[in-house]
Amino acid sequence: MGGILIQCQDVWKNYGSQRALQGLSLQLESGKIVGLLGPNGSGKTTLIKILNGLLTPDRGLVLVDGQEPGVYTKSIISYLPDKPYFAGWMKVTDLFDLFEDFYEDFDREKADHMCRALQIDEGQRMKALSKGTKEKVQLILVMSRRAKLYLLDEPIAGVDPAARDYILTTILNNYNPEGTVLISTHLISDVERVLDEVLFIQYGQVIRQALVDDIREREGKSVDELFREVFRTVPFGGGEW
Amino acid sequence: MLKKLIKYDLKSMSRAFIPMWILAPVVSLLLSFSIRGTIAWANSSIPGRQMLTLGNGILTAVMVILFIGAGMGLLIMTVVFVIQRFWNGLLKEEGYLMFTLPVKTWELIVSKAVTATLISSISAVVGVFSAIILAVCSTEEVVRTLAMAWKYFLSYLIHVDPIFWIDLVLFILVLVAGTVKSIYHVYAAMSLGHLFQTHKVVGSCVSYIGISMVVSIITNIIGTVVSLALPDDWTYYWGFTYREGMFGMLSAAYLLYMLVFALLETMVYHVITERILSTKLNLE
Repeated sequence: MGGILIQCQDVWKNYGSQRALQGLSLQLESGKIVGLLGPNGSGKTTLIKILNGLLTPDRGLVLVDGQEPGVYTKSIISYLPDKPYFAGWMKVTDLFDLFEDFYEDFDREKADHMCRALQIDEGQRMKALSKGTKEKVQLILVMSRRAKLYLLDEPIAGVDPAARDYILTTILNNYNPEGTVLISTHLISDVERVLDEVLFIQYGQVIRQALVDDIREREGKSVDELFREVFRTVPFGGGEW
Repeated sequence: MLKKLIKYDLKSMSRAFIPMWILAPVVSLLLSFSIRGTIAWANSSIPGRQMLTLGNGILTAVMVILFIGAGMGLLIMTVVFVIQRFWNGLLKEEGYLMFTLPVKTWELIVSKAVTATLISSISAVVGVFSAIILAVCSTEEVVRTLAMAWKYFLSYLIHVDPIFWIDLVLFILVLVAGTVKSIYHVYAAMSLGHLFQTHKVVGSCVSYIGISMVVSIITNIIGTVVSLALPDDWTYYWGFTYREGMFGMLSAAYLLYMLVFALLETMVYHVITERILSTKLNLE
């Protein structure tokens, strides 16, 4: 395991009167696949966007590889957003050109190879592609980089179980083993098998950080079971599900 | 990195503009032929020429509408694109891509401004070129008048005061600086609108008007101070100096003031935009 890659200390973020992060603190080391787990609205996307520099925290310290979000951190982060960010006029090959121009760690050959394997025509415009193919292109772009930190925001939300397997396998086969992968999701059972560590987040705070092996060995539970236990809510009208 | 950003911005903008840049002169050329035909028929003594003239007149009217449409389209497209490329390209989903590139925020802004200035300038040149085509190809009369005007202009240039050339260069610089300033004005307004929690578009419009009002107040103050500083009978001296061939100096001074003011405005707008997008970016 490497040194500290992500450090957040007392990070606060509000959207108007709505609180997204409330004094969140955490530390993550290099060389791990970490699950950022929490219910909807718990602050997962906000945290990822702050690490990326897409959101500015109201206060608190955020360091990625020892530096505040900026040009350097952006050069080492590979980000998969929760929605497509392409301009419709761009062709797949335009996007590859753009990544090749701006990211030194982008492996064009790998991207071309993945495109061929998935039978994606690089000459196609993004607006002509189906939703699923767009997501695949996005995943190819992200995983064709040899980044120090992969920030994957809900990579398997909204896709069928077969596609989930494909996405997770692609991530596992292609990430830089010296880097860290932070996967945000609430679909625990699907990602559990690939995780080394988990961060439970609720009301904008990290309420638990643990190694997956420790959870299994010490508590005799799967991450999914622990998640359900921690975030259990009583259904309206009472009773158990 | 800035060069690479400009390359991508130019690519995204030019693909929509190139057809308009081709269409505008082609339409004016067709329109000029149509006008020429109408005049020729009207002047001819062929029996039934009225019907033919009417047909040609209708065709000319259609071409005029097309020409005005192309001109308006070019103008509206330019304004819309300047706004849209900044709004969608940086402050909406595409901003996820642009703001995660390892480049400085000022580079993103300057890239958009350079591209928008280039596109606006080319559109303006195409507009003027189309109008010239229309005028030159319509009638012999226009060609003769223009030739005379050009001849007169050339003969004027021989005797012209050297200050004229300074005025001309300053005038062109003021035009370019004015375009850049107007683009940055829109950028600053959109960045201020981005600070609003909700109704960001309304916030941007309000900011645009607010900035315009502030600039108007400042220019009025400067104007008042300058007029108070000048002697009461300065207009008399103006008339005097005009006779002495010093008119160019006065206009050069005014153009220089406009240029400096436009550059200052641009700098202020750039700083506002850059600071907001660097320290207050919120791509929710």
